[in-house]
Amino acid sequence: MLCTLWLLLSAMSAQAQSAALHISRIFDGGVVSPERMVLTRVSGKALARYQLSYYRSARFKATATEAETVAALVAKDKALCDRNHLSAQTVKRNSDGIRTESTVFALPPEKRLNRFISLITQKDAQGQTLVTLIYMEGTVKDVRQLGKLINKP
Amino acid sequence: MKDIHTLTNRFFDGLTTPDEEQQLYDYFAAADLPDDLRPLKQMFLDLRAVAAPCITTGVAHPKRQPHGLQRLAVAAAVIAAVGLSTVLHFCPSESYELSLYGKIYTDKATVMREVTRTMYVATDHAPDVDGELRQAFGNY
Repeated sequence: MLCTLWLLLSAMSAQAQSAALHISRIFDGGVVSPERMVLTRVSGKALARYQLSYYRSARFKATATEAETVAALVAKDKALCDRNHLSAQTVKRNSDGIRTESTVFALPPEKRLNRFISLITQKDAQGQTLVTLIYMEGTVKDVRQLGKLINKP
Repeated sequence: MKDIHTLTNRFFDGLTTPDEEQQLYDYFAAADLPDDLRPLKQMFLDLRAVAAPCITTGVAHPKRQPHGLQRLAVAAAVIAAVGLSTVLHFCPSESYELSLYGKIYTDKATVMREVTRTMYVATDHAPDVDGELRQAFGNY
């Protein structure tokens, strides 16, 4: 009984941290229904190579209104951004006319874990927007180090 | 064997069969890789490591033990349970969940494929933090 309770508490603690954010509404299907999304939720040693302990992502095609709602929710969480950490935002347009906006920032750490949010929106010439939203927790120091770990051959 | 680039693309689209995945794991385990595929080597090595089949063994039923040993066994089990739960609390358990347009998958390989894909999307289009810092402070 005690063992089960402890296991539950461990699993719930990571979820609780992301549930407290505005972006949790996106992951919970409050903006786009889950049937239209590719959602992942991972915790455990498979993430260890990235110095992460928890990873949650949502990938979906959004209407213009839905994309604006997503951006607004991310902006609300970005207002909490830890200014001691690096954050960045870029806009690119490639030769196919796809406009890509990318935002990544760190939230204040909780329980000695660093937290990051990454939002990438890719809008094509036909007005379709592909949204990729990622929430990560771990001991990785900052966004720059995370990028190096992800791209490490 | 299909062309390796075709197989790799099929892998990222979630279309490979177990045999094709094994071909990829074996290929990327080799020392020489073309430059464009070298960044994927570690990922496939990691996936190869977790793709090994698990071997389960049966559990023998314990014989009845005298009372004293029984109490000792119960005490040891309680201590082990408390110890294990403490370890698990600080070393969180693993869980893998993918919801693919409403259909749920919980096997590690399938879930981690999507995680890898989104991570690469994030870093492909990630702001070049180093570049921006160099640009901002390059004159100092």
